[in-house]
Amino acid sequence: MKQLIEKLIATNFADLEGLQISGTVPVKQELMNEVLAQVLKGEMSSSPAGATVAEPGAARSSGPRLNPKDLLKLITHAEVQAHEGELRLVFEIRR
Amino acid sequence: MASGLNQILERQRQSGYAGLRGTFIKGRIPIREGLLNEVILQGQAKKSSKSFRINQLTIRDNNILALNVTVEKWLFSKTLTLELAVDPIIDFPRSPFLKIRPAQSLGLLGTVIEIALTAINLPGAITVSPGQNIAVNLKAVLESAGRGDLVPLIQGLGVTTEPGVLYLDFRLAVL
Repeated sequence: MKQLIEKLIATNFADLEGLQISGTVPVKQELMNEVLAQVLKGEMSSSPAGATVAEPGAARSSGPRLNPKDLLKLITHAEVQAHEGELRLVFEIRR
Repeated sequence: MASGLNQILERQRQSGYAGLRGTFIKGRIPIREGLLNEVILQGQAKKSSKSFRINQLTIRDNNILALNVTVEKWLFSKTLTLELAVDPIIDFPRSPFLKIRPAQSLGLLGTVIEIALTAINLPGAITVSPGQNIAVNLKAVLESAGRGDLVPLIQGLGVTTEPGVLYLDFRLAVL
């Protein structure tokens, strides 16, 4: 599986031509404040340069890691909407 | 030791993503036959038994998969192409099974294939019942991949095909 993901990245996700994902993710303010507290503690600055986001489940396995820069190429629309007590992330991914 | 952000993520997983309640994501993931053939090749390389070997998978229209296989059991050896029909709707989470069945009756050959399949120790998530009906338990697949946290989020799964490509349609929600 690791080889397959590496191949997808190397070919600029060409095998995913036709991919469509869209959605809305409301992030509660409590969660945002938790993340903010970690950032202020220096969580982000302690990350090594070129840090990667672990593939979901990576904490329990030694799966491959994806660089956010690779994934950003696929985002065709993103916006943030403020609502009472939460921020809504609206996004669309296409290839 | 997990970092603070990973701990936050882990807490979200354990709480069923309570901090993201109201999330709705839908999508369509194309899976090309070249990629599937690579996965099959890698999977078979780890198998010691060669009683049932997939040589080539071809994705056809109308949810049909054509598998060129070699069956070897006792003195019996045959290479043939099996046409399999994939059920388009997966009733997740009530019945999290991807169901695959022969597109046409295989007769006695089907029985030999069933016997050959039992000899290759299929993963626990895959079962073959009489009539060569194959069921892949997607809930078990996610759990064995360490992603059991996604199971309650899946609201719908579907499979459609066109020549060379299988599309997986999904809907996820945090309720």
